[in-house]
Amino acid sequence: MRYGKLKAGLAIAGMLVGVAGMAAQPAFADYAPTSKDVVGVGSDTLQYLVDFAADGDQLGDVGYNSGGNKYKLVNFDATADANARLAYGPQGVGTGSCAPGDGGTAGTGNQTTLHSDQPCTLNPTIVVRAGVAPIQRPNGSGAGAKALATDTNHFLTFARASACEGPTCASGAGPLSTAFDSIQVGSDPLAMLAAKTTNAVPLSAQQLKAIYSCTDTTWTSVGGTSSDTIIPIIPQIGSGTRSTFLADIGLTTVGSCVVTGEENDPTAIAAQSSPADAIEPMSGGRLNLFLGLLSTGATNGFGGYFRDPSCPLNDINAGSPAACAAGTNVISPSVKLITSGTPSDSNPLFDVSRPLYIYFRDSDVTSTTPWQPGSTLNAVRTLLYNPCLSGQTGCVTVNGVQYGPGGPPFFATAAAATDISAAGIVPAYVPTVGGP
Amino acid sequence: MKLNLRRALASASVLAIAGGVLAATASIANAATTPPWEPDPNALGSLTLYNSSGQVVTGGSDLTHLFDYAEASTADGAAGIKATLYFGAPTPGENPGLWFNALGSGSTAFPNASAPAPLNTATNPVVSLTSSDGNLANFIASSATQTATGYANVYQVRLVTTGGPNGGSNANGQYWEDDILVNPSAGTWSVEYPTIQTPTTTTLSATPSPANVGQQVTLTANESPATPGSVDFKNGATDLGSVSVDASGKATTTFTPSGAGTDSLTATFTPTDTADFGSSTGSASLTVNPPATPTATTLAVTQDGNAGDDVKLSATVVEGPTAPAPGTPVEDGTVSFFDNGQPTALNSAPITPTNGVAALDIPAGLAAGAHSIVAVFTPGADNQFESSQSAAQQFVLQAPQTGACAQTGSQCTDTQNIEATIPVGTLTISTPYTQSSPLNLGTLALNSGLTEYQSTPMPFGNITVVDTRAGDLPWTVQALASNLTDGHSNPGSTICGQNIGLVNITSTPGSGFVGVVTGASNPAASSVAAPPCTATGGLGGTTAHTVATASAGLGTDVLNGTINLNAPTSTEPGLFTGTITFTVG
Repeated sequence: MRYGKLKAGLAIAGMLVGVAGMAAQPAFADYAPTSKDVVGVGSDTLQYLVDFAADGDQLGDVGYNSGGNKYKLVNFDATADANARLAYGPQGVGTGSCAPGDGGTAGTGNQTTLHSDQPCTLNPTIVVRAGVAPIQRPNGSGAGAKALATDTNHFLTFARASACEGPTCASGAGPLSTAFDSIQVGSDPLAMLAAKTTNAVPLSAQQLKAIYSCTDTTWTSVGGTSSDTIIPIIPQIGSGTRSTFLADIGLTTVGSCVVTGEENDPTAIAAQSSPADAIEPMSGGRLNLFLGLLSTGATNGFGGYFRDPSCPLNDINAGSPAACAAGTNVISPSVKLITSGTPSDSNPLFDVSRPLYIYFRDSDVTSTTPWQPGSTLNAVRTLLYNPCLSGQTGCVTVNGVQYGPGGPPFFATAAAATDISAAGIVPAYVPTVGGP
Repeated sequence: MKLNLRRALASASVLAIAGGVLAATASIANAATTPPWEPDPNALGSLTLYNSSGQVVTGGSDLTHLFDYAEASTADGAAGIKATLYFGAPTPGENPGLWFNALGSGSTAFPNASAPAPLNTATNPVVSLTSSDGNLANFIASSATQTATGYANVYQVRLVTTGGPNGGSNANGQYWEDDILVNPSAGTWSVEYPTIQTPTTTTLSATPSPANVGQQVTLTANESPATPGSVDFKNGATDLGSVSVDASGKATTTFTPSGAGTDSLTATFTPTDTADFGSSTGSASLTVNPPATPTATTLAVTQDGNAGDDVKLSATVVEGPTAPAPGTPVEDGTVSFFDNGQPTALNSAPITPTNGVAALDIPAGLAAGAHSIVAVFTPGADNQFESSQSAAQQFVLQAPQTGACAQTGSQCTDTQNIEATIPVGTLTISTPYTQSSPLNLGTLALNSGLTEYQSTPMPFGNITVVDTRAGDLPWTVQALASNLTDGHSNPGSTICGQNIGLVNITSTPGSGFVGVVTGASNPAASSVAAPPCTATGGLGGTTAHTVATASAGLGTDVLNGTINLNAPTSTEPGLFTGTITFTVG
């Protein structure tokens, strides 16, 4: 179950109930998970694969919730926008003046004066459990991992992460301790995105470090022919893509020339003053989703997932204006991933494959509380990780892998792999106890 | 849902016409328990389950992979594009849509081109299961145990559709479903709901076939397995009436074809118990020929008035007086000849096409007495002609005369019986020596070379053969000597039978004996034999030795010869005794 999608459904439900005469029905915001729903937050990169695994995809593949079980898998997206874009504040990008509650400075919500964060992103919120107050929506792997690590109320069940967030990360220990296990659910290429017509050239990690530290600022300095100024775009703080990217290029702090954008948003290229000079690290899986490709690179037979959000539903249904007609309103950004060529410094091209994780509490694995009514399995064993523990009876072996009673958890099934592939991500299933 | 399943099975039925008889199969049902939640308010219909070959399955013994395909019983009104299998765990008091459920397969686009025919072209939703899909055992392991009546060990398999502009059936919380009953101890499963009907088979036959216009035809329908119900007979679209089946499943009716051509006959069985048994239809194709041509049969008998003498019958069949061509020979058919109204014909003969004649010759004639013979014409297979019967030909045959001749100059015979018995006769053999009066070979003496003891050759005579057997048969005399012993058990206490020689056999025929007798010598072993007596020679050993043979001859013949005995030097002193057994045969 995905936050944004469910909002519309509940609104309709509310209207129907109203027609039936239940005038006392309160107005809902978004879906607020019940106490027994499984709730996850975190990475933008993983949000669609978990969305699809939860609710199915646009290709007709089912997700866990499709069966109609009483309790749901609820996946809060990293952004409030279903197209995975940042929600911008009233002052927009580059104004230099952010309203209270906007931007990256913590604790500005109660202020009455403007501040200078750029961009002035709206801090969206979620109601993580029904009946509690809204909290800041965790946007990114690090934000999700921190939220899970500090969640003493057990509101959150899992955190999505496109970077290592556990105790044994190569870049150093993350916010999650050995009290948390993980499953790798896929792998995703990370490369540099540029406009199809671009001044960009193949770049190495070393060159990217110079660019994102603002040491090299023109294309000629990295082997290009254009003397234009490079516009390096970096995902927002808290993004796993950002931390993975910076770790991969060996940079801790970006320079002042770097522009912040929502991770994996290819429209950020076109939004710059000179798109031909803009580059940003981009998930290959996300680009597949934009282009209507499966993780194999084959067409999904349906087309791109994202629609032009300037088109309201009634215009799409009416086919007018023409730009909103069904089939013509798909966002297909004129961008490309730079996955071939040799950088001018002869170092390897920056094009890495990164594992995608879902972290969860180890203590939830051994919980004896069944999740769904009528089931004997707890929530983690149902969805994420169902090991055959020492001394456990009734274990089964499926496709050469041993599981606890009940067999593979949902994320280890072929159905989940289909959902993940439909999100453009190469599926995998690798559990790790206490890490990584 | 039950109706849908029936239809699915009926569509898989194969109609076959063989020899004018058609058999059809249909579906049927056992009296299974209806689960308490049925009819499921969320169900759009039922499922038909198939194995990898596309054959319908209703149960099995592999709980880790129930089946390979499942087909919804109806089209998807919600226009989904993919089908997925789910398992549901029934919960008392809960709407089935709220039961605990889990995926049973991945999602399959339909129409499902990878399924075996005809599923690959089915427009109803079809889901494919991989080898690791359909694992009910895992679902059972993750489900709470139910003990309530009707809920224990029962699980639901569901097919949902997704995708498309309307989101498929899943968007409406609807599905197609079967309820599966599991036997945990046996590890087996079966479809409990909808109930599976027992198929019936109906065959239809017509007699006669082919038939003629205006000729009454009997239709017989046989339904199996026999169960109460009725059969509706039809000739094309014309209803010929409905008849209840008897205890054996049989129903008959009659009808009269009204026009030449081919009649398409059907017999549709409808069971009384429609819940447990399926209907079925048998069919037959009946060729109806134009009305048959009347015929007339005449019979001629040739006989000499005596019983046992040759009788010739000749029938001629022609088109009758009211036929289009009166007197024209009939070309096809058979004439059977009956005597004195007996139901069994004397014999039958085929019509000769050129002249319409069927002839029968009875060389051994007929019995004495009065005879009344008719010829009955049976038309050929095409039924172009009507059958007809000749007028009876009556005559009397006289038995052969016996005793005094009735007329002067005639020869009379009177055969008398006589009898006689030839006795079987016997064949016997006897010798003069007995245990109390044996042939004593005397005391053996060392030979000059000191290599063995030797007896003095002595006459062994009066071996008498008496043959009184009928048939003038040959005979053979044989002899077999035992080892001689002094009663002790050491090697020196035995003289081998091979050391007994019987030679120079002569024959002394008795009065009237005309047979030729040939004697055979059996000299003692050339090297004296010692225990364990395995040497050859003499009269010893395990096989009798031929002494004499006779080609034939009744009467008495006396055989004489010369006997001697040798012994090894290792033989201990003492009196040695033994036997020689003579046999004749």
